[in-house]
Amino acid sequence: MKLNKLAAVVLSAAMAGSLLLTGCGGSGNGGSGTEGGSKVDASDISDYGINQNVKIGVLASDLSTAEALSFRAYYEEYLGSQYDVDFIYSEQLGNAEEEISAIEQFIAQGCQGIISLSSFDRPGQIDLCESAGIYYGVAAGVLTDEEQKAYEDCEHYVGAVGPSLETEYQTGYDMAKYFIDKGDTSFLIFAGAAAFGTEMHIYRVAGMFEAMCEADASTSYNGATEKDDIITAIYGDLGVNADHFSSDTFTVSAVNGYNMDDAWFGEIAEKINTPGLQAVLAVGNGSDFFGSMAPEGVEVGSVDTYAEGYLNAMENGQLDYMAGKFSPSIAPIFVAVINAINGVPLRSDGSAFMIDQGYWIATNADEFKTFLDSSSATNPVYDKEILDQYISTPENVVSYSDFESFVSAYTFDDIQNLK
Amino acid sequence: MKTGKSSIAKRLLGICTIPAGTILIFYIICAFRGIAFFETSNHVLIFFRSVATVTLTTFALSINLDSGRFDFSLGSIALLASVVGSTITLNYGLPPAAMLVITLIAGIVLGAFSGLLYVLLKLPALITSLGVTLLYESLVSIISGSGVSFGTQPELTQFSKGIPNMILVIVIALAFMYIVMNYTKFGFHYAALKDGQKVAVDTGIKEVGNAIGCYAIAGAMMGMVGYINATLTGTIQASLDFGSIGAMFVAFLPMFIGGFIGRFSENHFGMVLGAVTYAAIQLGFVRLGLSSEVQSLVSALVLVGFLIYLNNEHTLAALFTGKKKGGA
Amino acid sequence: MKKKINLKSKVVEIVSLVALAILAVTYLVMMGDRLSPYMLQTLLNQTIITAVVSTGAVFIYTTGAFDISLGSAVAVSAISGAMVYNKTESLFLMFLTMIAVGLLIELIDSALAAFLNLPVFVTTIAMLSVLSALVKIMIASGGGAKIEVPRAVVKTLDSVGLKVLILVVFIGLCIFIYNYTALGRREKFLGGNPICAKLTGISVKKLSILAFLIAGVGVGLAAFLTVVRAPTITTSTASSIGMDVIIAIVFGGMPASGGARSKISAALVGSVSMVLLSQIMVILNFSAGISQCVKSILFLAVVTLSGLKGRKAMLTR
Repeated sequence: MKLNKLAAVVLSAAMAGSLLLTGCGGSGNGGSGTEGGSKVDASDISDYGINQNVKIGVLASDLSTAEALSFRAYYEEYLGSQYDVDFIYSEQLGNAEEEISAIEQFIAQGCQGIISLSSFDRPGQIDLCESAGIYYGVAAGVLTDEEQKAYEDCEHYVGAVGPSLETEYQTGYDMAKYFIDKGDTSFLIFAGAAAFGTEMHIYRVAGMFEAMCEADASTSYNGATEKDDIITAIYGDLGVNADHFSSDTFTVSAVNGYNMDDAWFGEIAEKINTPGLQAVLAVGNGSDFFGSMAPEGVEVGSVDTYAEGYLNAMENGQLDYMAGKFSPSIAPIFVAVINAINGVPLRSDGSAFMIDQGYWIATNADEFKTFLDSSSATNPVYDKEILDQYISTPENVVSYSDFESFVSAYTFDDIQNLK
Repeated sequence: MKTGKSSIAKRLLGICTIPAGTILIFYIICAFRGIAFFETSNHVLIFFRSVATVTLTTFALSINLDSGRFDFSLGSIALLASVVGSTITLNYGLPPAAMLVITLIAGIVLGAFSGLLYVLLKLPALITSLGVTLLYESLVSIISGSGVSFGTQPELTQFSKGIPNMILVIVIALAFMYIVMNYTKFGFHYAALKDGQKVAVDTGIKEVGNAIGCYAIAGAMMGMVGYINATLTGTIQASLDFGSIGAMFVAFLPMFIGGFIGRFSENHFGMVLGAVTYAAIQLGFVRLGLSSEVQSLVSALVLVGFLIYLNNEHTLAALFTGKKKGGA
Repeated sequence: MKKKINLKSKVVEIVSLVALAILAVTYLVMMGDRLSPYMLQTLLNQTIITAVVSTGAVFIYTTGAFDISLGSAVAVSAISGAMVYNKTESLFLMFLTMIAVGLLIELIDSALAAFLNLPVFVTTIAMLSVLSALVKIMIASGGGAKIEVPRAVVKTLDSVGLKVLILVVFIGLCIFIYNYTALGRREKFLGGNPICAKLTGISVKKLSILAFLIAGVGVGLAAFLTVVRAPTITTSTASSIGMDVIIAIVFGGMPASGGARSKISAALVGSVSMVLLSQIMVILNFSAGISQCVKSILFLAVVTLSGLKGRKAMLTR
C-alpha cells in the first residue's frame, strides 16, 4: 500500500513536472534515433510491442463509417493479435475540446503513444502530448505545411503519414480526367465538407476543376484557371457555387455539405436528375448518396475506402471509379510510434517526418476485389512479415530512409515487392 | 343560408391560406428567377416524398406531444426499424414487400417498447426517451456496424421513387389517424386523457394501454419514415451520441400549422397541409438553389413567427382593429 | 411502515450520489497503480464545462422548462469572444463579450417565451437551428474552417487554480441564490405548482427571465473555459453540450419537472458521473455501440431509482 502511494506520488510528480513544459521550443533535438539510427546504442532499445505490452491510444473522430470500422479492425484484430499492443480507442470525438479530453484520458491510463485519426486541432494535440511526454503520430492525414514547420522539432511528435494536400488535389484531378477522357462533359460535383472549409475536400474539388480547365481553355471557376486561384475561390464560396463555373464545353452542378436531412436529399434528387448529366464526381462517398438515385447511364466516382458494400456497388454499376484508402495504410505510423517508444525514433534530419501516402485507384470490380482482399484484417497487405522489417531491434536498427522508402511505396504493386 | 356560405368560405380560407399561400409565394419567386417550381416529374416526386415523411413524423410527434409526452426517440426508431427490416430482408433474401412489412412491424414493436418503458419506469417521457434514443442508436451500431447498404439491389430501392407510393402513404396514414382518433374507443380515450388526465383516469379509462398504443402508433409512423428514407438511397448510416434526434425537428412547424388549420377542419388533415407547406418551402429552396442551412434557419424563423402569431393573435387583432384588450 | 417509507425515500434521495460513488470506486479500481493528481486534473478538465453550464441550467429546469440550445449558445459566445480578442487582443474584453453574448442569447430565449407567450421548449428548439446556422456563418466570416485565439495567449489561463476558482465561485453563487434567497425559493415554487405560484402574485415572466439569465452566465463562463482549453473553434465546438447538460442534470438526481425536489448539486453530481462513466467505457475499450448501450441502461436505471420518490399514481407528463 505504501509502495503504491509512493509510486503514485512519484508518478504524479513526474506528470506535474512534465506538464510544466510548454511547446517544443528547444526541446526538439530529434530524439536519440536520427538518420540510420547510428547514434543509438543497440542495448538501449526497448522491446515494447514485441516482448513487453504497450498501450497506444487512438483518437477517432469517427467510429461508425466503413472506413473507421476497417481501420479499427486492422489495429485491434490484426496488429493486436500479432504484437503485444493494446489499442485504446477514444469515444467518437466531435471537436477540439473532446480531443484534448481524450488525450488526457490516454495519459491518465498510461498510454505510451497516441495515434490520431482526428483533425479538429492537431497543434493542440501535439502540444499536449509533448508536454506529457507521450509519443504522437498522425495516421491517414498530414498537417498543413505551416503546422508541420511549427511542430516538427517537437521531440514527441513522431510524424504523419497520409495523403498530402497535393495528393488530394491530384486525386480530384485524376478522377475528373478519367471521366473527361471517356468523353463526359456534364458533371455533378459532390463537394462534401468543402462547405465547412475542410482542406482535403477543397483541394480535391480544385483538382477536378483544373482537369476541366486543362481540357478546355474556356473553362474557369469564378474567373480562376490556376490551382491556387481556384482554391482561393472555393474557400471564398464556402464550397462550390455552380453559378461561378463557366465553360464552353463542360457543365457543372454541385451539392455541398453532409446534412443528410430531407432538404439535402431533396437537393441531391434534384441535381442527380439534371438532364444530360453524365458523371458524379464525389470528394467523398459517392455511391451511398448518389449511386442508387442516379439514373441509368450516370457514372459515379468516389473517394472513400475499400469496403464490401462498395464492391457490390461497383459490380452493379453504381460506382465506376474509386480512389480508396486501404485499411492497412495506417500501419506505417504504428511502426513509427512503436520505434519511438522503444527509443529509436525515426527522424527526418532530426525532425518529425511527414510522408505522403496516396490512394489505390479501382475502375472495375476485379481491381476493387483485389484491393479489398488486401485490406482485410485477416490477410492485410501490410502483414507482420513486412512490418517487422521496419521495427527496430538490437539486431536491426531501422534507418529513416528505409522507412521513408517503405511508406512511399504505397501502391498495391510496390507493396507486393516488399515481401 | 347566407351565414352558412360565409362560414364555409371562411373555413376554406382558413384551410387553404397557409399551404396555398406558401406555394404561391415560391411560384412567384421562382418565376421571377426564371425557374419553374415543378419543372420535371422529379420535382413532383421530391415534393410528395417530403410531404409523406414530414406527415408521418408530424403524426408521430404530435400523438405524444399533444398529451404532454416529449419524445426524443423518433429518429432512432426510424433508424433502428429500417436496420432491422433491411438486415432481415437481406440475410434471408426476402422480397421488397417483406422489407416494408418487417420495418413497419419493427417500428411498432420499438415504439411500443419505448411506451412500455415509459409506463413501467414512471419517469417523464422526455427522460425515458433520452435513454431509449441512446439505446436504439447503440443497437443500430451493434447490429449493423457502420450501417446497412442495399443500393445495389434496385428492387429494394423502388418504393421511394414512385409518386403514387408516396401519395398512398399519405392517404393511408391520414385515413388511419382520422379513423383511429375520431371513430374508435382508443381515440375517445386519447382525447379524454389529453384534455383531463385525472378525470379520465378516475372514470376508469386505461391510461397505460392508451399511452403504449400511442407510442406504438408513433413507432409505426417512424418505421414507415425509416423505410422511405432507406429506400431513397439504399443506404442506412449508423448514428451515435444523439445524432438521430434531428429527424423530429421537421415536424414542429407542420404540427403547429396543423393545429391552426384544425380550427377550420380536422386536426390531422391540418397536419398534412402543414407538411405540404413545409415541403413547398423545401422544394422552393431546392429550386432556388439555396443551401439546406439557409432552409433550416428560415424554417426556424418561420416557426417562431408563426408561434408568435398563434399565441398572440387576439392581441394582434386588437392592435390592428384598434379595439382595446377585452373589449367587445 | 412509515419508518420503512422514510428509509426508502432517503435511499432514493441519494441514488445519484450512490451511483457517483460506485462509478468513482470502479474507476479508481480500474486505474489501479496509475492513480495520480494528473488523473484528478483530467477529471476536473472534463467535468468543468458541462458542470458550469448545467449548474446555470438547473434554474431553468427548476421552473419545469428546459433549454436544448445551450450547446449552440456556448459556441456562439465562444466565437464572439474569440473574434473580439482577435480584434482587440484583450482577454478581458473577450471574457466580457462571452458573458454578454451568453446573457443576450438567453435573454432572447426567455423574452420570446415570456412576452410573446411561446412554449419554452419550442422556442429553444427553434433557437437551436438559428444559433447553429449563426455558428456556421460566423466561422465562415473568418474565411476558413475555424476561428482561433492564439494558443500561447490562452495557455496562461489554462490553470487548475483558475478553473477551480470559476467553478467554486459560480456554484457557490448559484447555491446561495438557490437556497438562501427569495428568487431560489420562488423558482422552486414556480416549478412545483405554476398556477399557485401565479395566484400568489409571483411574476412568472420575471422569474423565467432571471432563470435563463443565470443560465446565460453559465453559458458565457463555459464559452470562456472552452476557448481556454481548446482555442481552435470549429462549427462542431460545444455541439454535444446541449444533450450532455440534460443527461447530467437528470442523472444527477434532478426531477425533469422541476419543483421543490430540484437541487443545484444535481449538476455537479451528474457531470462528474458522466465523465467517470465515459472514462470507464474507454478503459474497457468497448466498441462504440456497446459503450453507448451500457450508458443508456445505466442512465435509465439510475434515473428510475432517483424518480421513485416522486412517483404519482398517474403517468408522469
